Amino acid sequence: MRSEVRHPLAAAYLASLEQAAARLPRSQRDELVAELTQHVDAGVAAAESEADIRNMLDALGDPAEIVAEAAPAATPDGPSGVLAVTLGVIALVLTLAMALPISVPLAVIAIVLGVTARRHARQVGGNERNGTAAIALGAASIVVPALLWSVLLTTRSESHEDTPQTVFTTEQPVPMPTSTTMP
Amino acid sequence: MGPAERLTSQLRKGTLTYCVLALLARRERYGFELVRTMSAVDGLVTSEGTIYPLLSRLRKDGHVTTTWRDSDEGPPRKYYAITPQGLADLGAFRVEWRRFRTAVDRVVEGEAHDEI
Repeated sequence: MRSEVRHPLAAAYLASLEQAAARLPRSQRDELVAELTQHVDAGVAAAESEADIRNMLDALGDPAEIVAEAAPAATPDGPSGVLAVTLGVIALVLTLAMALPISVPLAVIAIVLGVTARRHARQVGGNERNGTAAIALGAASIVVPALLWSVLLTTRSESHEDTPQTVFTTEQPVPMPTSTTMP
Repeated sequence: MGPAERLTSQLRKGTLTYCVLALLARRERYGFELVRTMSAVDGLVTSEGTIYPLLSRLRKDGHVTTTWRDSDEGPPRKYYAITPQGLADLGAFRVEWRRFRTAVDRVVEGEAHDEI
């Protein structure tokens, strides 16, 4: 049988595999689907009856099991990813509300959790979006007040430099000595 | 899955990699051919499809390489070949496996009058 017109059983199996493999990273998914497609096509070509094709597909096994072998099922970046983003958002909000004693430690936690979530996502082949977002939010919550604080410091020190000059420029009326004190 | 099946499954998981390497050590093979050879050995493989992720891991770890070759019988085929690193690992496994197999047999199959 030519592979251009695939046997319905084979087509159904490969469709089921593609669905199960959807959670894998693209390159891994493409490789697995390509290899199994080759296998199925070769099996169909070698088959002498529909029973042969069924036996071949049964022997291949459950697509979910094959995908599980490729990458154990796990949430894309684990609960820590969602938690990290949430903490990052809270930290930023608190920063804008100038609650720095709370927002800064929270921002640090968000960054740490974000780094952990990214590493976990890389290992299980999930996406690192949440971890990256958490790091960005946490960084903003620290950098923005830090910038504001340094600007505040420089304007404060500038106003201190002005004060000695005003002593010299302001004209104070000097009281004239009375004639009785003059020799 | 009953206890006996679970046990066999564990044993299989540990050794399947080396069975694949041993077949490739003899000569390079393409996927379909390799899988069929393995499933011809009774009790070795349950889900043939899981051999493909295993092959992918072996390639990523540097134990096998892949090459596409044209085929008279259809589309080009992806051939798997063992690397020097794969051969080295297979050799190490052989030593360990023989030792382990002998030890287990000795205890499990040992006669009542043996020293243990």
